[in-house]
Amino acid sequence: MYHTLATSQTPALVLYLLDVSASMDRRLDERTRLQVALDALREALSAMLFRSTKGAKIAPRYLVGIFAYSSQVIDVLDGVHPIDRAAPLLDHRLQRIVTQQGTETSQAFYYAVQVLKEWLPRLYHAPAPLICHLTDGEYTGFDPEPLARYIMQLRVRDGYVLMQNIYLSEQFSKLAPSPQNWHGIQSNTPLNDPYARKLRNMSSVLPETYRQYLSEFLGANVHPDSYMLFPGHTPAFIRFAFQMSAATGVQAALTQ
Amino acid sequence: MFRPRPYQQLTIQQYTYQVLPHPQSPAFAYGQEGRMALVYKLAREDGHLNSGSSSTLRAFKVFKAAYQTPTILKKAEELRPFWKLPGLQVCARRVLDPNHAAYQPLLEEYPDLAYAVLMPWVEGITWSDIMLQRAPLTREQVWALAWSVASLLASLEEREVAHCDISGSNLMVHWQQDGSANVALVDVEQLYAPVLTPPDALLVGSPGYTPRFDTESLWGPFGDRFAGAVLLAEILGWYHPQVAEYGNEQSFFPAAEVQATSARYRLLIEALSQWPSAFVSLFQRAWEATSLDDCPPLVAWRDAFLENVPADIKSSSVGNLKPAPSIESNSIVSSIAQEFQDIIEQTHSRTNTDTARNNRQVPSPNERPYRANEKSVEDGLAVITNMTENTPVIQQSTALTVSEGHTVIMGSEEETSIAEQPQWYRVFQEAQSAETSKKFDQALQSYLQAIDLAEGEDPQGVTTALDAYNRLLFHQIEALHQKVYRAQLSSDAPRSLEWASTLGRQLAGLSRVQLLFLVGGVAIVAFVVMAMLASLNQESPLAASLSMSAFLLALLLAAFPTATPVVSGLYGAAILFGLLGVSARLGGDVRIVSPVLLGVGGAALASWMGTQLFPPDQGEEISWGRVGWVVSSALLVGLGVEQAAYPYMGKMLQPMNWILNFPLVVGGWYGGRAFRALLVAYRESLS
Repeated sequence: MYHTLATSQTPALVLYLLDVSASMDRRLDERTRLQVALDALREALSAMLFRSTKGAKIAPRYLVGIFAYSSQVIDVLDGVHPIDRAAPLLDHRLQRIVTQQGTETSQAFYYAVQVLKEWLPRLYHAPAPLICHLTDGEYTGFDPEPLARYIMQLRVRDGYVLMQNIYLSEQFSKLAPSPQNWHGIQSNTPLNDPYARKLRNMSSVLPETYRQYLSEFLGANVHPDSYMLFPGHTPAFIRFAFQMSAATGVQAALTQ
Repeated sequence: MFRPRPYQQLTIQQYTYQVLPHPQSPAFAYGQEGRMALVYKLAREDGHLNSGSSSTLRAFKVFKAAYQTPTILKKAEELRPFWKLPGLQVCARRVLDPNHAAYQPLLEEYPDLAYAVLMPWVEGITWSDIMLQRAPLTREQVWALAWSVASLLASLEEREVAHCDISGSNLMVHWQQDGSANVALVDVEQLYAPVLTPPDALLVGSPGYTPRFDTESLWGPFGDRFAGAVLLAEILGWYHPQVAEYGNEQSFFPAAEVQATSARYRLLIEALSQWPSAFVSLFQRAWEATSLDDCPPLVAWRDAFLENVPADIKSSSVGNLKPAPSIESNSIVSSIAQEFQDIIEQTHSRTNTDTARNNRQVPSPNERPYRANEKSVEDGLAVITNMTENTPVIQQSTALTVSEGHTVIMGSEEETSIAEQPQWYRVFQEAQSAETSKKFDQALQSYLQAIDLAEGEDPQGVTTALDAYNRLLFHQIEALHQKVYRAQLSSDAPRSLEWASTLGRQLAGLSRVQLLFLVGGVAIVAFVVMAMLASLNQESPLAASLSMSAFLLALLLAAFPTATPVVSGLYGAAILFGLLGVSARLGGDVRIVSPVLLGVGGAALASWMGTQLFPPDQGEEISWGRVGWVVSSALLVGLGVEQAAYPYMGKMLQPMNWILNFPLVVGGWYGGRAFRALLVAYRESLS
């Protein structure tokens, strides 16, 4: 499973669900959490762009949707777009994102389900879609876990839909100082925060192909059987986690 | 992770470079990711930044973490002497050595640039780009391009040099005005030559160009033979519209179809058969080879071009074949020579030493010393020509589809009985039965089994089973959203609210007329009772402070429209306070009747419209209703404020009033939750 390459005919669908609750205005380094996250998202999309560039052309190898949520869900790109069309929209659209009250995670997941309902039948031969969810705190409203578990059961030929969670929490501050020295979160990794444990339940197990990408590209040593739950206590970890969201394999391109 | 922004400056040695923007998306840098590295396009600042004189454009290759090793440095030194060979100008390269003081400032800022390589930018597009665009070329164009490639590869082979990773992505094409094509090779890290040391990792080529026969490594003098044959066949066949249409993305053949007799293979053979038979023979000989030694030498391909020029090509502008064209010009050569002078000089001295030690010579571009002495090309041609005669024509592929309990072989229209149905379909039917019986978990398991069974056997079956599996899951998710989430509200309610849920379920059994009478009656009785209570407490501090509390609370809640049980309880409290407060203030004055009824009616209308406009599947089924209630509540309380709220503002802040208010807060909270439980049970029963 998880070996299908992203191509123009079989693009990889990546949906970003970004918690933009008021707490995202807190400082992380010299910027707010939201700014750090948006910069990391931009870098992830630039990675997709580099992986899709063929000469002067951009092959539509990735399909991207970005949804910011608080008490309601905002479709940042107005739908799902191929990377060649999403990239030019990005800077302008990301400026629209502002923090708001509430963290209705279940609503965001339900929105993602609606998108998957539309796109999944067209992507049965494509790489397994990935949902990258970033949050910095506990949800309001309903428990998103039952929905997340259903989402992780949806599948295409390549495998089940992948669910990645990036948790911006200080509780991870005792972890390794850099992503390169971090070994991932496994089922037996002690997590003091109950919400971190819930997020682990809502995360897929990291596929081997993605683990290899992290090792090869970013020099990370994430252990096998790690969950796709990534700590986001420093900008470096947040960038690292977002880079993983762009890890769906493509056929290697020109390297001069 | 080095992720430069467009126009970001980088100073390397005495030169300053700017990262060029992506031509299609200028907000991002122009970068391309390969297997081992990312390549950015830079312009030296004394050049033209955008349109760029080729002589000042550079490729900046930043290796991925796993590949940032000192061997890059060593390899670059070894490769440098080859930069003047046809098509190999990217061998002129500067490596950012972390142990070199000159690169320290840059590497301290960007540690990921360790061992990054700066080299000439090769203009043009890759053969993969052409395939990606799916635009067929003319016969003249493909002939000119294939000749250039064959000539280049043959000239390398004659010098005992092999690229060892020939692929569409590694071939740069630059069309000339006279119709000819200049070509160059990129991604030369695994170049083979007798004087070079083997790469650390023995690479096995690119998908679509790698032979399936056992080979430890392609690194050797014959490393380009198989991939070169595939590449040349792709190019020669590209004039055929169907070849262009059915190509894979970066190679004509997907990796799984290499050396297999697939529909693509037959299509390509058909396209090649429109050229002199020597080309079909050479390609088939490579395709059926069991080792690199078996593949025809690339010199044989070049000879085939020289000896078999078709009549239509002879009379065209590309009829006169020129030897070994490549992408280079004097200006580029002189620019590279100037910028890379220091390292080239170092290399010359080292190479001389190495050469003396190895007693071998680095091949000169003007040399022609080596001729591959392989099996006679004619021998091979004779064998393969016979095979060509038996080449099967392209046949319509068959597909299995499911229709009304029968499997139908499309094309042959042969029907198969149910007993002969494939196994996946039998399991699929079991899943459908389980779904019909509402045994959803069992159905999901069976669908998964059907997917696995159909995999590799029937692609259409996989899609059918996947479709049914996902459809059932989406249905489950909808059910979860519609029922389980609401049931959660009920189940979360304390046992003391069970009466409200029961009442809600009973109300759902009433007709609309009955409901209207019941709600209307309750509203009238409630208002009369509240008005009577208010008249008993006319002008009491409690009533006044209640009205102000309710007003502020309503405003507060309007700012936090969430759906948590606690907040919805507070909504209920706000409404109750508002009604009690206003009733108390006005003491049963009949004038209150019409605004109160107006407010309650408006709230009900807003609630109903909100529910209609935003049905439950949007996940906001009652927020508009809540807003309606809050606004009405604030409106009603405002009526009281208008008359006498200000004098009581201070009283609100007195602790005694908090104590007096507390039972009502609790009552409001309980009332709100009860009302919500009632509504949830009512809606659930209806659905």
